[in-house]
Amino acid sequence: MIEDLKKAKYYLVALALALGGYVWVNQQGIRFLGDDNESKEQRSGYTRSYYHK
Amino acid sequence: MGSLLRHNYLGSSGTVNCPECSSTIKVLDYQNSICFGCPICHTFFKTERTSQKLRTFKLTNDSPVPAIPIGTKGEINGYTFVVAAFMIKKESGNEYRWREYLLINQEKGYAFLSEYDGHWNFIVGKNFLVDLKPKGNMYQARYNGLPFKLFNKYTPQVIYASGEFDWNILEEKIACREFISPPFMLVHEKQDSISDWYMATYKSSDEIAEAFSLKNKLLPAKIGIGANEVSSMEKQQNGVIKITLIAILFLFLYHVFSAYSNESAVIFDQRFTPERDSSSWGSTNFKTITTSSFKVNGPTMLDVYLNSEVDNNWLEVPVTLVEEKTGKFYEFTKAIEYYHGYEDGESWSEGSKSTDATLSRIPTGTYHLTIEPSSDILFPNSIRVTVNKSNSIWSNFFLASLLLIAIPVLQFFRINHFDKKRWMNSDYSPYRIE
Repeated sequence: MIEDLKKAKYYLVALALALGGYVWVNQQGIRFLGDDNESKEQRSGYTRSYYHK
Repeated sequence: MGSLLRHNYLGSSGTVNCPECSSTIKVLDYQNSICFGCPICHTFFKTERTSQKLRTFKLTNDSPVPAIPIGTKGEINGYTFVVAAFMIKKESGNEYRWREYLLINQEKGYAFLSEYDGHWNFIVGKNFLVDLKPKGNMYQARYNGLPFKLFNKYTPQVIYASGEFDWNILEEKIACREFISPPFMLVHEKQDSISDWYMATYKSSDEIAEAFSLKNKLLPAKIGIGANEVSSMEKQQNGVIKITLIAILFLFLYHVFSAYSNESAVIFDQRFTPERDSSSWGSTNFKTITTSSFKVNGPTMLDVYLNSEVDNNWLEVPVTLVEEKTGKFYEFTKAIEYYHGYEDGESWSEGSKSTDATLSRIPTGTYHLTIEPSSDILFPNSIRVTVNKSNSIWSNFFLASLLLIAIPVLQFFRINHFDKKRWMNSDYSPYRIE
């Protein structure tokens, strides 16, 4: 088992980093498949002002 | 490859003189060696009673200088060897050439190293492997539970030799068959009625350089794929599969932990009844609904569920999630439509009374929703709006798992491609050649 893992040690390191990134992405609430947000203006930095209740 | 003798007297020293150029050749196995190749004038001679010239090698394209000098000591598979001779051979009938090194171990006797296009094989006979008696036929063999497939058959010819031998290599007329099961190769040699088996193990030039304490760059560069070479991908494949499975398990546990360790998922749940907008009577619009505030502990992903008891009708629901401090907003539009009926003796239905939308990367803050429903009915049913905080984004898990699984699968196809390329050098490829 350990011998097998040693042979793929670079893959192990790369995957460990990728998993770290994955956890961070999930903690940020990012969905890989995108979402239903349609406010394009906001994505380019513009925010519409709303009257608060 | 010659017969293997006991080398009881290895270590005794002596010299012979070349009958052609009178060069002095140091002899390693003085008791057994009878034939010699002079590295100076390339004469091959026999020394039984008197020195007798047998042949002078004339090389045109090949260098007579061995990559591992004669007399070099090294250790392979725990055995100490000294390089006793160097040969260049070719296949009878074509121009494929390779180099062979005769190795002597004081206890076991002869072994060989062969090198073709930078691919090395360490070859031993029954003196090293007592049970080397493979079973099989002309096209396949089995040894130690491993299946070997015929890769090549040929008759080797010696075109150059230097060093010492305990047999006359020029008299060899061997029919050779090579069966592979990477990294191993079984070599069957038949001369007249005598046949013998040898076992070859693939060695990289790194291993050879380390075994003989040589610099790797002095060894021939690797070209193409060796007959019994194992691809680096294949060596890693078991590790890659195990690491991938561990990673998927880790992701699964992470998502399960996230799903059950955080606070309740429902952060907003309210029902609203749309009121017709009197200022636009006759149109399909209703008054804008503004919900009460709710807090979001982010960054997170929100699932917004919309439900309405529509019946053979539709309701379009544009929703805007507004952060009350900054005015940042997220908007989407969903339609709820449900139709059903009875036709030609069969019930039918289409659409759904509920729908949902996903908003990702929502920062911490206080939010409310504004809903601007529209429909062509005058008094629509109420709309239930539920906002769920997604503690665990399972679609990410499935997508990541799919990507992870793709790596060993891709590796498998690359290994397969490597194997196909290997067999392109053979007349006995198990793959269909187009």
